[in-house]
Amino acid sequence: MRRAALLAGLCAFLPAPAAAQQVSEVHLPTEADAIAVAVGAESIFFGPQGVETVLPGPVTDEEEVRVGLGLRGRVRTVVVDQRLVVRGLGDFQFKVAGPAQDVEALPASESEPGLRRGSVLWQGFSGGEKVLAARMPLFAEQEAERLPVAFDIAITVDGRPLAPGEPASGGLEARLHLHNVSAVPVSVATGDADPGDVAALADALRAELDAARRPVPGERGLPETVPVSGDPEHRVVDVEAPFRVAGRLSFPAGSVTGLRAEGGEAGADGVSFEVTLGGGRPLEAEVAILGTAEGLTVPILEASGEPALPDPSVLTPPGGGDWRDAEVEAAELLALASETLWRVARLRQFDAYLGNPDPAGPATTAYRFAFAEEGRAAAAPAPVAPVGPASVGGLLLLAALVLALLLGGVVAWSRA
Amino acid sequence: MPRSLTAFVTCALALAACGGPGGPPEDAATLTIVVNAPFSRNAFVGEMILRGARLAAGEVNEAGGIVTPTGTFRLRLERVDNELSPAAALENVRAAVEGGAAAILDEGTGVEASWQVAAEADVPIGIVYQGGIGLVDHETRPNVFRIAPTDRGVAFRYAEYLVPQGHRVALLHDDTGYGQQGAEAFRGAFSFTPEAVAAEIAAPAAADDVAPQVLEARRSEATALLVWGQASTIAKVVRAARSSGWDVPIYTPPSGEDPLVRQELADRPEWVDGMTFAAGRMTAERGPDPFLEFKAKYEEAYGPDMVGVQTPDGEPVIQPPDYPMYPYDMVHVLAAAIGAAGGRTGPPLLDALEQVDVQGANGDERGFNEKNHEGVVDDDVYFAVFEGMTYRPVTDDPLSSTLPTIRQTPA
Repeated sequence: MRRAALLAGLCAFLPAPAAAQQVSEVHLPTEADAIAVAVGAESIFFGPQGVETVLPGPVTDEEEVRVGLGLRGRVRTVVVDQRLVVRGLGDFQFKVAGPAQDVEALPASESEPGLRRGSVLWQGFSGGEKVLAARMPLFAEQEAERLPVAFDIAITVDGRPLAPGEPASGGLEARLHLHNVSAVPVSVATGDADPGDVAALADALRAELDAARRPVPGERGLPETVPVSGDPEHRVVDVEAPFRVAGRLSFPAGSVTGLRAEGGEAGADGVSFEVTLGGGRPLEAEVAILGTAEGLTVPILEASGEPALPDPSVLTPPGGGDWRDAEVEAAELLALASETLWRVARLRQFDAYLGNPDPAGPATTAYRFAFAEEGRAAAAPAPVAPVGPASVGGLLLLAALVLALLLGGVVAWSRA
Repeated sequence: MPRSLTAFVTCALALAACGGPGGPPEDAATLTIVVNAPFSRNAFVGEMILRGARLAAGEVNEAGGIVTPTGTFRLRLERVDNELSPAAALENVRAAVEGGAAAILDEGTGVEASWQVAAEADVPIGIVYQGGIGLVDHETRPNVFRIAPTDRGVAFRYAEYLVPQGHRVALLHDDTGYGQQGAEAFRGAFSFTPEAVAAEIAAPAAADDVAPQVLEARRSEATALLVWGQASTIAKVVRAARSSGWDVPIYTPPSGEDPLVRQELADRPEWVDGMTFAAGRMTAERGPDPFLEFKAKYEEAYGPDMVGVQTPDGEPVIQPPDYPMYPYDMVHVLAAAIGAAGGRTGPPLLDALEQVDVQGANGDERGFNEKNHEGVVDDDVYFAVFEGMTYRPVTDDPLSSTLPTIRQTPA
């Protein structure tokens, strides 16, 4: 569904075929293009007409997304703290699409938010600067689809899954599998371009990535468009937003000895890891941990994440050096450059997880992952019911059912 | 028939907002909105509530009524007098519920008691005048909504306005519900800056002379006097302060713009000059056109509300219909919600009230939501200062300075 909607949205981005023209322009993607194709919950709830937004000036967006995971990595809770600073003199009115289960103002907020069908409403007047801050629990199942990274976790002791409240001893095996799940299908345009133009584009793009800057078409030597002969060619490829995750799985002091790790760094009581998923690196990573457990209870997972730039090496010519000195297959290199720019453009979606009402306003989002208390409880095995009147009644009922079945069987057999 | 219902039917004046040629069909069902306001004890407030509501209901009916898949509905208003008495207000609400009212438009008196009676029947109450903090709570009073500036908003805006000016504020409030609720809001707003509070003084609303209380405020070395009370209290305080030679700047809540204040001080118009009141803004950022259009409709229907005083040039002063905006907007929100609920009242109407918006008389969006049953945001409170018996927005407050002055004399 999400992919179909995105593909439909992408059609609007495709350059119009220029049947009668010899030269077409391939537009290089920007953040605006990535926003334009993102599926918004707003449109799901309110239809295509959207919601009127009134802002007196620029808005800064800072968010913290706290994800509570179950012991197997399933998303149990998602809570977002969002702090918006509205600047300018005048009215403001907008909705943060959410969808949120609830909303409450944070102490720093200078206005009270509202809530309507999952959208958070802000309305008021800014006398120059207004801080709007709210905490919003979201719908975990929906957010599991929207979060950029998924965790798959298995922790066993002597082959048995670790369970809350049940200290375990024996051979510890823990596996954290992280998967960048942000990819969406994107139509990448390419074509028969001038090799020199494309080489210059690729070199400029790599220079930006080397400098840890986000490349923006039309800035610092990057063109906004690239001319191609004839009609552009379109390829639909899955494009992810590269994402970095760093964290630590900590075991209660003294409960694990002989810790060893692959994909992470083992310490005395835990394993640290840092991976970047996508952007020229693998989309998946695994941290494997071995050790010996003694009275081990549930460990503590603390991880943080952030959008990351693509690896500059994806734009390194096969023999090294610069593209202008290399043998260039123009259409392929243009497609690679466009894909890379799409990856950069898609970072915006995760810079502003819930979204900045000012599409051009700065936005940053910090992601935190940890085991949720609720997840721990949910992972716990069903408690054994104590024997009492209720269970005795249940046993009697079960016995009656068995007796009835036996009698039924006897009747059926007798009629056979 | 219960006594209260008899009283209700006897006292109620049916005000079917009539439709013209474009009105609803003959077989349209009628939904009744009861207007519970102080028609005898504060006729200015009661009548302005009724007029605003009647204007909106007339528009709804004139436009063909509320058309839903299950049928068409027309609105009918019934007027009941709460006499500014919580007991009378409660009786009125009981009678309205028993009489099958779809909703109650309320000035605010007695809602502390009456909301529960209405809640048991899932009847919404829409407050359109009083701003008391506890009156509206979407969690504990899910059937109570309000379109009117809140006391909290007025008090916080005063703290925002006066404290940076270095004022030490004396609060003088009367013993009416309005005054007491205002005092509560004042305490909350100024609790962060206790050094800005010089005194808090209560005065009986029934007292003929409030000179002792004014003297106490003066002795507190206050540099600003905030008078939170009925219009008559404000007039008495201004007279006592000025006649004693105390030229302290005086500030008031919305009741300061009540014509009664100026009428009571008509013999000394210079004492009104410089008095500042806080109220909900009449014009939104999109400009004065929506409000002026509303004002024209209002004055065409009822004529201008004459204050009964003159400017220094001898021109009669007209009261802009700012408070009638709120019942007007409330009726339109109710109509939109009735439409969204398919003409059903009770729980579907209560749910729908949290989901709809309309453009209000001043151009602002009016509506409620699942976390907030207030239709006027605190930020919309502005300040206006009197000069020559008319008022204009102050220029030293960011919001107020953006607002135009609405003409208050005949064109």
